Amino acid sequence: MSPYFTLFRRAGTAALFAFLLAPLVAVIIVSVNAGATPKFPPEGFSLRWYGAALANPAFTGSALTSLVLAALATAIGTPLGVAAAFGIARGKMPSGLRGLLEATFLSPLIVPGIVIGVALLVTLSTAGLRDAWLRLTLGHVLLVVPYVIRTSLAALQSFDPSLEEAAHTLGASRAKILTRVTLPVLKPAIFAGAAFGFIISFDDAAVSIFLIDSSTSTLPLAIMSYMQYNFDPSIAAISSMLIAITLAGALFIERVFGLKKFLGN
Amino acid sequence: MAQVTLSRITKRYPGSDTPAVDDVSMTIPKGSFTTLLGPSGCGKSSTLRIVAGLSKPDFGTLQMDGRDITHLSAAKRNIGMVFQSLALFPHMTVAQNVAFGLEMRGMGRSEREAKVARALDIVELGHLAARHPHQLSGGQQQRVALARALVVEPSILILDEPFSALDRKLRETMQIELYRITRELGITAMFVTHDQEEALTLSDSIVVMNQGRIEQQGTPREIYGAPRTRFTAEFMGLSNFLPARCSSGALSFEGLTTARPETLEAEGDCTVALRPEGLSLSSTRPEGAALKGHLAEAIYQGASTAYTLDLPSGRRITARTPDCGLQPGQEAWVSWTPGALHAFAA
Repeated sequence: MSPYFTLFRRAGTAALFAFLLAPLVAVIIVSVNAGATPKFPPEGFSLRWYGAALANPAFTGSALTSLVLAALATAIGTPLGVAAAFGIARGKMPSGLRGLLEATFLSPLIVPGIVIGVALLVTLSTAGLRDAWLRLTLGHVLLVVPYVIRTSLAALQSFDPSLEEAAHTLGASRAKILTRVTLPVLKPAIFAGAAFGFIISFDDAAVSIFLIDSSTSTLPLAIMSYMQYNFDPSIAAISSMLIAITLAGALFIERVFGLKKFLGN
Repeated sequence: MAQVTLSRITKRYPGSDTPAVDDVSMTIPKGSFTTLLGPSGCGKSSTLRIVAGLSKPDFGTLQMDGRDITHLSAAKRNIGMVFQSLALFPHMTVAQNVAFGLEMRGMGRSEREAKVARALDIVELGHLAARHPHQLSGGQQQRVALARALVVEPSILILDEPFSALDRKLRETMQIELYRITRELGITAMFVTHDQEEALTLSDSIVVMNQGRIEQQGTPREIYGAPRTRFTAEFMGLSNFLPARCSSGALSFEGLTTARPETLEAEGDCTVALRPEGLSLSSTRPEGAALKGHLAEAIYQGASTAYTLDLPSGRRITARTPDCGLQPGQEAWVSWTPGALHAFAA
């Protein structure tokens, strides 16, 4: 390959990274702005907006809601997703039905969040479920499940069935095979799916906006509503903290499972 | 150790016209190393899985030391199995892998650790007990799989083409190792392979299978030295098949009449096979039985040269002998050592 082409390719890669990451970097720079408005370049360095963001009960309360909600949805959605993946991968059924089930269970990944939100609002209201926590939990379980199914299914499909047969011939019961061999082997995949699901739930605005009520709000929605009336760098500060949390989650997935394995399937 | 008896075992997979295992009966004597040999799809692995309890026969019974185990769960048969993929548990260390079967039997920690240490010593892997399988070489993984199967002191050790993924040199080392271990411990073993050399090396008894049925069963010497069917003969590396006729005392083929081999059971039409390695060529008529032909090809292969001879009948035979100086185009006589001629029903 000619050196010019290599140079061109590297420049292109650099430009793409800059395009993807520059806004995030800008948010972080703005968040340490000493001035009263989110300006670029910043007017001096200060962490005062971090203090302001953390002192704002609208943010802290909704952040707690988002954390508890994401944890709850992940705790409920993960076993459901794993069970569904087992059903899809191993259930005795014609291959057409298997494909249909897989597509159906994974559809929340493709259907726009706003559509899911409206659909849930209509359905849950018709069913008489008006409690915001209940509605949010149900909605977020729906967000988490397909991520867990996706990683678990990929791992199950590449699972060597002779591992289970080996355990069986060594005297293990079905329950022991599941708890001592199958689930431990699938564990990294399950964890990766759960971690993804947690992040998706924590970041979600499109579905949640249809399910909250006046006293219960999630962090992304609190940020949106704050921005309608205020325009100060505390938004940038809270966003920077979200970036940090998301990055930590992504690093966690990379460490236990490998992002490529998840995204590449 | 136990004796295992298969009686009329039959297994047909859904969607298949012909049974994978078709009326198979055999006995694996206590302490014997028995190999199921055949091409892929011959039913050898299906038979082995039925003995292991991983697959249920449609018909027939399975006995271990006289006890019917046809419907006994694999978990309760007390078998040790080495899988083709080895199936080592990737999330466990070598020691944990080996200890698994003992743990499932509810054995206490100290006894378990002693047995695991002994099993790892037998396969010479004691120093790698704390490693995970992915940190081991192919041969080491093989040994772990063997130790895991042996440590439970199985009634029968079952091995499903365990060496097929290894390169030739390592495979030979592992064969010798397996031979040593099974003979030292007096283990009853059932081995599956498609490699005739491997079967000859390891076995006390070989069962040749074809299309779900037993083609021939016997010691390595019997199978190699006296194949009873063309399939077995071909599988054991025989070639040069010639149509023949046999009567009470004589065998005639290609215009030649010789003494009838003792092992031949057929009457009338039969087939003669000449082992290429047991043939020799000369330009003059040798003493005893010989066929004359026209030398068509001589391919030098180092230790031997492959000569192709056209017989007057138009059939061709191949002789593999040390270079004898004959050139293509010459007339040549081919003769054979007594063990090189085999005859069986057509």
